[in-house]
Amino acid sequence: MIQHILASSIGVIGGADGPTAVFVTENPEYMHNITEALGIMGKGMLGIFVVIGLIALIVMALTKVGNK
Amino acid sequence: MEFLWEGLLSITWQQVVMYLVGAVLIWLAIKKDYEPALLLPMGFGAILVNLPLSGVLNQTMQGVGETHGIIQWLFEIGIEASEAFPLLLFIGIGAMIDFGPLLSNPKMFLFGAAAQFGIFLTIVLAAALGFDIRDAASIGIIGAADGPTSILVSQVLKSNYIGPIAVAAYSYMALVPIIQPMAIKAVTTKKERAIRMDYRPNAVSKTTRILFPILVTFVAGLVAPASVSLVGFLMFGNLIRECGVLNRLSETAQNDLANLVTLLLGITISFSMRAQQFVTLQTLMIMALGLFAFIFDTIGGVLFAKLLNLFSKTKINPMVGAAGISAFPMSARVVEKMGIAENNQNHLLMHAVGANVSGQIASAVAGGIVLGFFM
Repeated sequence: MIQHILASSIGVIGGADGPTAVFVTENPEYMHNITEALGIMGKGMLGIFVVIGLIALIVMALTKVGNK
Repeated sequence: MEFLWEGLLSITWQQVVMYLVGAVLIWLAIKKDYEPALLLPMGFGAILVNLPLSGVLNQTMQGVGETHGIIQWLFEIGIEASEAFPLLLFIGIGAMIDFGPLLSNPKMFLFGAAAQFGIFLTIVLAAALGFDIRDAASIGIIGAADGPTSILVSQVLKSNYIGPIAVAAYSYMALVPIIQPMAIKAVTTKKERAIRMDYRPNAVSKTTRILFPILVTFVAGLVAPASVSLVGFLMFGNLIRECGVLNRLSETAQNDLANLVTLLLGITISFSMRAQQFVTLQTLMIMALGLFAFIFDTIGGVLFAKLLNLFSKTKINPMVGAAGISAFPMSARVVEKMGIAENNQNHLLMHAVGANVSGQIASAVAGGIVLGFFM
């Protein structure tokens, strides 16, 4: 299996830009940082919406029960 | 006689910069009334910790050994050991918040979530600018628009930039009335800003008000365990307020506890404003990233409201989304003022307050979720 860092380095060839391809390949830690940050963004926003969404649903249920 | 000018001759240019920073923070606090409860102690503390061989920091004295400085001790006990000061302050904040407008209009919860977008986008940008991932996460959390959360997260992640992060968080919270209108106008049209929203709240029973903080703690704690301290203490303060049998404790939490901890927190944070840590290029970058976080929090909330409008028959004024940041109550007031300016019959305040208090919960949850990635 190709690891994601190597996959990034291969994929960036499609940018048709030599200096960028060299930069990405030569700085795996930097790319790992960015990949990790993007992962935090995706999962983080999903996590917040899940938590807040659950709380909102509970409040709506409580309000309905309380008003009966 | 050399001892008389030993201190003067030991001053470095970086320390002089910090004296100016301290003076500016004090000026902003007094003259401009920008978050004076935090900026004034931080400004004065910045001067105290940057005086050469300052007695407020641990020093080694000839013939005596190591002496302990009060500000360093307060930092080690109140922040480094277990983030006590920010968490105790959260009890006071929880006791001050009335979640009624949010409980009566639960749709507003979603805007609190959407308005945390700036945190995560800033983490990506900070990583792209070369910050280590833990520092990037600590910088991104400035977008929580919540001083205690920013301090707690950056301390737990052992960021090297607690000082600039705290200064950025509190400074930009005070600048919300300037930052938000610009960001809102950039992504909305006049017609959208004039959308009228009527306020028809549902009744909220006392049982709901009491169960709410308990259930929020459970939900947030089970999904994001690292948020238990933040969310838990916020909800504990709110439960003291809402239970109806602890009025004296509620008053104490809202007033004496909040004031005392605020006083100590401001001067304690100045420990991380020592010149060698603060006067760096990274501090300037962090100030810029903090502003970016606030702007994109606002834009995130507004764009989410516009997205909902695509699917909703009853239109939401997109400015209400901007109130989902945690800067309570300033953000709600900004939205109300902008709503009146576009349509003098359009009172958005209660909708905005609902979104604003949702932001208080969402920012604490966001802090916990960010911490959870490093556990």
